[in-house]
Amino acid sequence: MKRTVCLALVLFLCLSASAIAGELVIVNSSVSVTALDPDALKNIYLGNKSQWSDGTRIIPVMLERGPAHESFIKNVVKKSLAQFSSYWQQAIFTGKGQPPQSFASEAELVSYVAKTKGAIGYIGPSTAHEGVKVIDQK
Amino acid sequence: MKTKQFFLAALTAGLIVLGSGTAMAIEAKDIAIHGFITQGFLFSSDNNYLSANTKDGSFEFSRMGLNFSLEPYEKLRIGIQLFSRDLGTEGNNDIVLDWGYLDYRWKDYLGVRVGKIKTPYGLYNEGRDMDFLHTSILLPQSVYPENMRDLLVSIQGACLYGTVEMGTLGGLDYQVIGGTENIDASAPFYSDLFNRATVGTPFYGAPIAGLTANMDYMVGGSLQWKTPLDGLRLGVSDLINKIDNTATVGGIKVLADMDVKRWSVFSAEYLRGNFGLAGEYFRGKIDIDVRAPAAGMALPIDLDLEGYYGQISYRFNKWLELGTYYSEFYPNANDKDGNGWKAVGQPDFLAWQKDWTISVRFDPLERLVLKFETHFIDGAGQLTLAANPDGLDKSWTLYAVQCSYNF
Repeated sequence: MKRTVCLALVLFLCLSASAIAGELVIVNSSVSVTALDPDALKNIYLGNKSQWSDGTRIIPVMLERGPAHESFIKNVVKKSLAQFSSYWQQAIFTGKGQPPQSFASEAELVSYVAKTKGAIGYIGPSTAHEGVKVIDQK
Repeated sequence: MKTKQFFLAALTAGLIVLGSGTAMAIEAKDIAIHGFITQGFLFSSDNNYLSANTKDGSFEFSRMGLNFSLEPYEKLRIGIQLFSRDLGTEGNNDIVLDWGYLDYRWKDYLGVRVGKIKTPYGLYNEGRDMDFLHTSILLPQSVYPENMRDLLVSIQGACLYGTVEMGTLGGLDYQVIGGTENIDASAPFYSDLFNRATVGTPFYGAPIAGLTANMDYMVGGSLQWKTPLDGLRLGVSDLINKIDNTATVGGIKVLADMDVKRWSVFSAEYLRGNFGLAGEYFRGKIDIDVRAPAAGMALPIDLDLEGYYGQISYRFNKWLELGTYYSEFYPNANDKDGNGWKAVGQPDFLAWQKDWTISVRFDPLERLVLKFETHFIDGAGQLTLAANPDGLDKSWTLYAVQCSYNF
């Protein structure tokens, strides 16, 4: 019985870890990284990682709503939409920071990332993304 | 500085900055502005809650805030929040500076804030006044007492902070603070605290006049571990401070040097999907050296406070969240049965306050929150004695309704 429970727990944890979001993570062409691990992505969108390895400022941007946004917040940032909103509201109202700039459409987000040094964002897998670089999620 | 004078000075400074020339080209669009309005209603079956007349129902339960922030240079942020609150005779909607500081984040693992900063204490102290951040209306009073809010909410000084990532071990968020804080000793809660502290001494029950309080210093820190298990964070925080008090007690000049030796909180929170679980344990130790030189009296008072709670919340959908918590608080952990109170002819239940709360939160529209809450309470360990001149009841119920909007 104990062995069965342990195996089930291991399987559950493996499945959770392997649930990679289907979104594309895009960055400005000035960003040198080609891949980011989930923890780094999560920390960027929670304001805990603010600089690329070369010291350039990271400028995260996000979508206002939509399937890509919900999936990214849930699977990469590991928060529900309500928890994510609450997290940034706490930062705003204690003076510790402002949330990432948000865009109503993926096209607007892509356009902003393309022209903004250090910017990073996420879009759906079939969204056009000219002018930006797609990086791997490790 | 008087509140209104400060507000005008801040506004003038802001206009000067906005209107200045190209040396520092800040435009209105560069300034982020946010705010909130919260209005509540309290009603209790027995006992007035803190200094509000809740036995008859009270709307004297509100908070408002307005903040401005700017990032004039990379890594440097400036911000202020103006705030007002009303809880019975506390606050009275006076506008005060809630926080205002310069924040320079040199690296992710090291930054510094200078100015008036929210005190990092427990999981929720920094956001305690923002209704929309919580499931419940009142945070568990065992760790976040409203009757001590003004002593715990902020510090004027400096803070070192940062995030240290540890790879597979998760990450650490730390804050180390030092400074002081102004205390309004004329506030009813402060004289009530003084009165409670002196139970069993010759000073107990004597009229208190001219109470003054000066905080020499406060230092403290908070360490939170974001564990490798997603959603689980563990934390520990502590504060120490020293406050010098003077008063005339029963016509005798009294000096009371208050040494807060610990104000520790151990925290755990687990968030998974729509489910939330949290628990915290608090322990406070205060040594008070009370002297009445003219009367040749000197006596030490040792206070050992203890409190803890456990809470559960669940968000069913975009507009409905339910929560419940159970909280216990003891103003004197060495007298949980209240024998000290009985010895002076007071009810023993002044020695504890046990609270089971059920909360319902609605989010009918984005940024609009409506809450209903019931507290089933045993004891009066945190009530304001002066607000209940007709006596207290052991078992009582507190109902709360609250609405808030933030932008």
